[in-house]
Amino acid sequence: MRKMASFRSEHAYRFLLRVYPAEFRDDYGEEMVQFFRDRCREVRRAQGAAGLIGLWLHTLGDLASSALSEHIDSWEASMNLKTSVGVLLLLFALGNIVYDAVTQTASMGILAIFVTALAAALGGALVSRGKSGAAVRQ
Amino acid sequence: MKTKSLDPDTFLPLPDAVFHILLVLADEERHGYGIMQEVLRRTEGKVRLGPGTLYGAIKRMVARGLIEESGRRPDRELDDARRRYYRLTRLGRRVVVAEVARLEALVKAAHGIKRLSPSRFCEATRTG
Repeated sequence: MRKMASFRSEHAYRFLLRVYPAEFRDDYGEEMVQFFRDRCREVRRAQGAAGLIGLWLHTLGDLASSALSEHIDSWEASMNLKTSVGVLLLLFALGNIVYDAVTQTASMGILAIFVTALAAALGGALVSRGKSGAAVRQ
Repeated sequence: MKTKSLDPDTFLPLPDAVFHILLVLADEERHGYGIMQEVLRRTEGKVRLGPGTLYGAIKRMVARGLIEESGRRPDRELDDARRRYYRLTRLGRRVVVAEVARLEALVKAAHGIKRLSPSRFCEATRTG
């Protein structure tokens, strides 16, 4: 009975490892399962099958925080520095604009100017892209 | 892949999990579960590393050259052949020594603050 509980726990943990990035899972997945198996054995010996409840609570907390950390690591590794900085700056700028627009009516004017400028820039880019495309086709 | 720095000070301050793991490996090479057990023993049960935290830290330490996988493989009868053992690198040893020195300096500075001196605190609790 106790061994069945441990076996199911190990099986469930192995399934939950899918929340980690594939590369991390490939490198350390088997060791983590081995670790969890050892831990189950130790808990069962000291506290019986009921001890697995406490073990699972600790394990799920560890899994949630560490999986998020690994995904962030994986994301950072896949983005180059320029793109990362660009994305961060854009998010920062957009966040400021939205905050100002919501909290200060005076900023509506600034927002309107910004949107107009952005639209003009995009429109200009589309027009010039269309012209160069037409030139290529000719 | 990040360029490995060779200056121990660039690694400081160390995250808690990393510091505990490096301290444990300073004595002898161990596998992951052994590291967790030794950290638990040394901290008197206060720090229990989960597998995700442990192996995430191991991954980062290997990438930065602080620890490496040991070539040692235990006897099959004594242990599971899938276990990987880890040991400190020379850089890892220098880093943990630097971190211990940093913490010692912090504690020394704290002892120099009169309001924090143990004797003053005991006197305050007696009168207060």
